[in-house]
Amino acid sequence: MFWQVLKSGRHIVIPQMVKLFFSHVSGKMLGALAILLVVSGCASAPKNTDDQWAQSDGTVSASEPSDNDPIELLNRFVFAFNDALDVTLFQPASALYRFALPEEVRDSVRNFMRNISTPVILANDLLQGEWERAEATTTRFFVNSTIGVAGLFDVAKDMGYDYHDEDFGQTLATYGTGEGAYLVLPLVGPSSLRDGAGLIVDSLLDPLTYILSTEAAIARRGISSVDTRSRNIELVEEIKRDSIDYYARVRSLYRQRRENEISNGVEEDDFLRPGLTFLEQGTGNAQLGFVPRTAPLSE
Amino acid sequence: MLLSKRQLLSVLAATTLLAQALLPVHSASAAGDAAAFVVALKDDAVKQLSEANGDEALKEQRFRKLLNNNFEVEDIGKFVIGRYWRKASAADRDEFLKVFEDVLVQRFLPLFDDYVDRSFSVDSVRADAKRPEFSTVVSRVSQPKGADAQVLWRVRESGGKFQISDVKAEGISLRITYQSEYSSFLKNNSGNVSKLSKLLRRKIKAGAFAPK
Repeated sequence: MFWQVLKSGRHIVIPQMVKLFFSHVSGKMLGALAILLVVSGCASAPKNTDDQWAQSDGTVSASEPSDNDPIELLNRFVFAFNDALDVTLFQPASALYRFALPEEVRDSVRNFMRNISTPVILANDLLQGEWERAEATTTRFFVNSTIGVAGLFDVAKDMGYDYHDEDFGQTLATYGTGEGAYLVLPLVGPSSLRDGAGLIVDSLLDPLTYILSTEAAIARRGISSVDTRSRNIELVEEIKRDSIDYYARVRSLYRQRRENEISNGVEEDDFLRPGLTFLEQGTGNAQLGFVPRTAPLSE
Repeated sequence: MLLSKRQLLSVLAATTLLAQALLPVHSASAAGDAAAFVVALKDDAVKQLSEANGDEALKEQRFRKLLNNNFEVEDIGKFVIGRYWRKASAADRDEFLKVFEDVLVQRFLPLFDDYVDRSFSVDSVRADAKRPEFSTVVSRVSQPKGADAQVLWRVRESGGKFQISDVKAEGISLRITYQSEYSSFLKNNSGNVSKLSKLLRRKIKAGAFAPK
């Protein structure tokens, strides 16, 4: 998914920064965190959380929606910097990684990285009151850490426990915090006041922040970024090719992906049409001229 | 007795009429039709495109017709350049709509072409709580690799005719994506719609919008 590209590398620096802050200036760090949280709490709530299509229908306002990007010039500069770094370093490294290693190995890399991120995901599942997701996260961790050989194999997926991502930015959003101004962070990529604050909290929630050595932490983020990037090489090329303003395109994609993730893909405002919701598999609804939901329609 | 039998009957009749008037005009059958419309459109596109036997010009001609009949091309075009539409001259508007149609053709023809060997199923149909003329058809399209993609079709009904107003794939809306990008370009180019059209035209010639 494109969103993963945006996230690739987002964790590279933060934990190290946090660690350094914690060992040297923990007081200041907490102060900064408090400020960030307050700022993000003050950020205006999105106008159209209650109607996901309102913007696309043009019902929100007659004029174009605000970009909410007050420091666009600076953001564009950091964006260009990140892009240069991507072109010279991450993209070639990812291409080499994909070329050199078979798919199974790369999948194991991803499985391992996901497994060690469990505490952060679980914490955010719980903070959002998503009990079923929390249960899935926990089950995944125990199954994959044991049967899945220290997380190298995603056995839990075959048992019906799919992987999902959560972060504190999403948690804040479910508490009603607006996203705040758009930010492009060095190395991390597209973010916002809220999601930037979320990153810091996530690294505080992560036990590995306190356990890993600096080198190990950098290696973890580096490998994870290269793996994610290697899965998006063509996609990024395509987006670069077909956009007329790459920066604006990525900003829009970031926001839309985020909204989709926050709602976990569920559109709350729309309601299911009666009679169509509970169609059993294989039962058509002739009265509605409706086709069985599982019937492949391409033939 | 407060009411005579006749009075009672007329009250009943009035209540029934009132209840009918208050019910949403577009009931469940409209939603079923919206799903049927999307499925029929997809089937039609697959049929027409595969029957073109690789004749690219014919494919394009057929798809352009399907697009204009079944998508709100003009409405989407107006929307994506937002407030700059109102300031643009008639000639600039025409030029933009033409080139935007070409963008959509180049972008979406290959996707519909791909549906030939994908499975496509409708999971559910949702109604818009505020705007009853809209339905969202939630579909699932198999991918050559990995999990199925969720594609949402925003369908508008007017006078018994359906048209696609927006498409959302994995949370990304066609309208919003183009709108934010085009308006950003126009903002940085003093609202010059003609310049936008020229740039898009150049990219179309280079085949930039065709997914590879």
